[in-house]
Amino acid sequence: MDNKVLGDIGQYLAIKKVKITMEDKKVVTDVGGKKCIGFVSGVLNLVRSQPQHQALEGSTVLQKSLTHHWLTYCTTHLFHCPTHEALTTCLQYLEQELKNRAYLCGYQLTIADVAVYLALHPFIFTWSYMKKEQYQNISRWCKTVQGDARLGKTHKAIHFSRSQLYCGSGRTH
Amino acid sequence: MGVVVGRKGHTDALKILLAAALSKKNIEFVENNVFPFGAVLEVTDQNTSFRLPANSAVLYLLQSPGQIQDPEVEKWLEWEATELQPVLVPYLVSLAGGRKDKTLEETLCSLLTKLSSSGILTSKEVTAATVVMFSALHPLTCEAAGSFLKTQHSHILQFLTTLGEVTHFKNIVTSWKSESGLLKTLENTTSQPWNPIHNTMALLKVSDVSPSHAAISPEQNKPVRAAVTEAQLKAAQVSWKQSVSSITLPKVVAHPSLPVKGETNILITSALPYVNNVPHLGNIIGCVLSADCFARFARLRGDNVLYVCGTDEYGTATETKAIAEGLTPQQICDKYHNIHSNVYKWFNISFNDFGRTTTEQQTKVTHEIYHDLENNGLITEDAVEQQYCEKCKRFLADRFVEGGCPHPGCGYPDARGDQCDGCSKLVNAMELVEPRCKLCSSTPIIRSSTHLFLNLPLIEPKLKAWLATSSPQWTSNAQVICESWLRDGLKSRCITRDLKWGTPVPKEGFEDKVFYVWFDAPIGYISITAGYTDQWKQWWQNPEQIQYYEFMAKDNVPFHSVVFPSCQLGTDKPWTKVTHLVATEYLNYEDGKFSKSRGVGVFGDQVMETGIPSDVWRFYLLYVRPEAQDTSFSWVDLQTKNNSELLNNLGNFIHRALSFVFKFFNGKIPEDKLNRSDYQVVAAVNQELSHYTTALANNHQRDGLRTVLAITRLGNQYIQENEPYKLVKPGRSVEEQERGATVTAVAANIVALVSIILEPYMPDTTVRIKDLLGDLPCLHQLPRSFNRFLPPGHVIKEPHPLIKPIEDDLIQRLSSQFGGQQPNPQKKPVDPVEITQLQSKVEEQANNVRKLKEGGTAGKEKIADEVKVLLKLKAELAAVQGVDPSVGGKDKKKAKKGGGGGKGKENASKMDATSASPAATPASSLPVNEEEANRLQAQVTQQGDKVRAVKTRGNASKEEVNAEVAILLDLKKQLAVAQGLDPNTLTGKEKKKKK
Repeated sequence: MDNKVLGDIGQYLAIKKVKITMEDKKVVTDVGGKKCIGFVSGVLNLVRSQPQHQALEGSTVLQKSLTHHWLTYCTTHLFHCPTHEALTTCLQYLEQELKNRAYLCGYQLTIADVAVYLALHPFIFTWSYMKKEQYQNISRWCKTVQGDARLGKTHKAIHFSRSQLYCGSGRTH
Repeated sequence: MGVVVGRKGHTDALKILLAAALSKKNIEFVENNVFPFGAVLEVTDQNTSFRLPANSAVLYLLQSPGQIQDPEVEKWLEWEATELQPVLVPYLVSLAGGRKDKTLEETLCSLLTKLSSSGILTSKEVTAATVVMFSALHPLTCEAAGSFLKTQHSHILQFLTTLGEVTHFKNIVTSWKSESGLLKTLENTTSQPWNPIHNTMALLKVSDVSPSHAAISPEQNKPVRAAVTEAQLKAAQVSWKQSVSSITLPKVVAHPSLPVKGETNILITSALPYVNNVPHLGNIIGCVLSADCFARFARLRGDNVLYVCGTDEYGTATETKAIAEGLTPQQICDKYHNIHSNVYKWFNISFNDFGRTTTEQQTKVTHEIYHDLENNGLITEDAVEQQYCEKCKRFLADRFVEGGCPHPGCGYPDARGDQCDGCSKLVNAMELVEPRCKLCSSTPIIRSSTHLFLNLPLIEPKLKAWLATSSPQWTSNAQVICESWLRDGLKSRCITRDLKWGTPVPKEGFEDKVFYVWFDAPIGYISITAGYTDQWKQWWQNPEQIQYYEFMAKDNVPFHSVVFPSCQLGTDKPWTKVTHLVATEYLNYEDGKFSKSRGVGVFGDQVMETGIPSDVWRFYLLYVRPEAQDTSFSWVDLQTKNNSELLNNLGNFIHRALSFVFKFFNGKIPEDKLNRSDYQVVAAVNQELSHYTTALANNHQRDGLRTVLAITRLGNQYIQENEPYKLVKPGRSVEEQERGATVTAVAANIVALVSIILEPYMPDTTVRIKDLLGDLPCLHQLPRSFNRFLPPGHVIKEPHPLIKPIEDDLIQRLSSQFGGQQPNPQKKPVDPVEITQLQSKVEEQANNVRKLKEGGTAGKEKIADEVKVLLKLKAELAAVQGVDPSVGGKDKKKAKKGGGGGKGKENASKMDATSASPAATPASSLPVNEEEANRLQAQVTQQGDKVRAVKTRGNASKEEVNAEVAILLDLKKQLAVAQGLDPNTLTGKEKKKKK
């Protein structure tokens, strides 16, 4: 899955000369001659090759570190779930982390958001309204991210409903 | 600066601690589980807290702003996380377990060799990679690892030892090592080993059988029963055994409903809907349906209830519509009153009376109140200067005057008398430059008209004193709105208008004036009651005995919280004033607004044709009742709720429970012998029942509905856990058969309870359930606790399914029929170039057609052909714009209806019992110019398309949009004139009236 998402990111950034190959079960990204092994390095390579997209890596040190974290998380956890339970664990982690921020790394869209969005879009697209409400924070985040113009062109917008299925009184039985 | 949270013995913690020490940053350590990581660094930035796991945290701590990242470092960090850890950790764990894993050791070896030969370890500079590698590999120096490093990877050992001597490293490692059980820590905190073989995408093909994907609520899988206390358990035993005959039989509902001293008497009004507009779903849930839910609940409770409502019929809009339709205002009101009445009947709204404001009683009561106010010195007269159009012979309300915007710098020539479309600022009609009458364009003159004013400031102290006793019981949005009105300071309000259709003013010199609709509309509540019973004063002048609940949408709050009570207070009579003001927020339609003109949204008359029963509509609307915030109606949601909650949960439970009785016990309730776990269920049901009662008493209608569903859920789980259908099979032991009987009896009684408490939400369904149960008197009043309503031996009927599923194709059809604004993902991005091209083609063709028509020489067929071409082009244009091409056609239909020909629509003539002939020539004195009308019609449609195009483009400036809108409105006005219509009908279009 690493190579697929890398390819999508390359498309997102509108980079023409990028080659993505697999060597030894590891993904190799070649941008204008500059090679990188690994997903995180690959993504960062892509972003840095486009000076106009520098901000996508993060503006502050903290943001950059957070972007790094999320990209690492993608390749260590999110992209390689063997079962639905594993994916659910990842989703729960995401849900928890997104509680107090608009984007994964704070208040600005980063390539981390793009990567996670590209990975999860096919799943969220199939979610019922009930499931979307279960993952309220992910839903909110997804709705925000899909507003991005470039993503909107390549990915169908998912519909989120604001009316709650269950009153949020949090009362458990 | 930051806090490290995690397991101190984990290498993750070591990484972060080292990095912190090296960068001289102060951090604390808090021991906690941060699955799936060993430790994270918590950082707060501008009040938001973030958590960085080990490697990223190291990067963060060691990075100085402006420093460029080293791709080498990043590469090795990734390598460590994705390649080293997945092998190293299980290997260490195996060491800890005492049995070294040989395969892992081999893999580890090759990894470490690679690492050694990379040179990263021998670099002079201490980087993030250094720290991470050091920490990760450090455990290999522990005893259990033995001589692994020494013999096979001496370089690494050297690296670790050398670095370990550096001050920072030494200190941290020593303190870190002193925490026991490194390997144990690793064991406890690792998650599943990562394996690149697994591709998450593959899960898309595998169906997720976990409960959250099925069409049942996630709560259904949690153990349903909360801990029940012993006291509750005892109470359950008592309540269950409570003989039904000890419950007083429900009182006979008196007619007319009158309050009884000493009992609970509840007066309920719902904001009077304006007669002219067909109510839409938002209006319905906001007012009558919410009030109905409460009214039914109160009656169940045994209160004496009076629920009145009616159509608000006076006002300008009715007057102008009457002219347009060629009827008298009274006839219009009759016609539309019936529409309202039928809609509410269909929804089973249980009014005691649904009346009208155009009655003698209304005039009588209004006059009484007026005189009282006058005698108390609260009415003043004042001359008001208004614009008067001599040609139309009427005073012009703000929105019927147009002119140049008075705001400097704007100069927009078509500003309206209340707001300028050009600069969007509020305007005073008197300030417009070169004002003109919107209808006939002649310049209005300023005429003075005397009007009556209600002196609110004088009443203010009384009002405030009374509010303190009442408003704390209102919904919070109502309190806020009322407060803001008071804060802005009350001013005298004008309560009369220069109109013909309204309650006359009983004062000399005011014969041609009527009361302003907002003065006399709330009085409608009183007059409607007066029409219902001549004992109306028992309700309306009896504040000690009555609790008065008003239901409305939030835009009506000012009048009900300030103006109306002030009138009541001002008269010094003991009027019953509102004790509980219940205001709802707005219901949107698929995240947009309802609009009759654009065919968006479902309106009352259309709901009846959908084929979905009224109970389901009631259920859904009450489920999404906009209590604390705006909510949105969604077709898919409606379907989901019906199929999951109603069908799978409620319907399924009732059907099952009753089927067991019918199948296994010949339709007779069996004997029961409850054990402790059964009483726990009874107690749990009691809990929900008390939540239900509290919720509905406080108008938390959504919560109330939720408790009903919780009870049926309890029922379902009860059956699932006990499997009575198995226990009653022949060949089972006596005890098991008894268990089966008990469970069935309890389940059936839960159904009986549901048949009572569901009534405020779904009255028709509860009638059917009660019928199946063999209707008993105890099923008609709200019990205090869960009793055994159906005694052993009681006979029930054969159950049939009460709820039908709603299929996809129905929802899709309805959704597109009502112009739902569901996003169309297949839509091509709008191409402005194509649009402009088509637009010019359309314009060209339109000109062609016009020329042909005006030329007068072209044959009818030729013209028809060219018109066809034009329409085709327009459809193309609309398609490219992504707009529904049929919308433009509606304007034509409207025009035809009101204009020369008398071919009224089918529907109109059906409802038109009182009108003798179909709408022929309107009562206006303006001539009808058909040719002109057609020409203008084409222009209007075209301009309409243009406006739509500009709007959908999305990047047009507001001025541009408003400019186009203004042109369109102007054309429409001209068109109306050409058709001999009063333009007010068209301008008063669809402002969403939320009464």
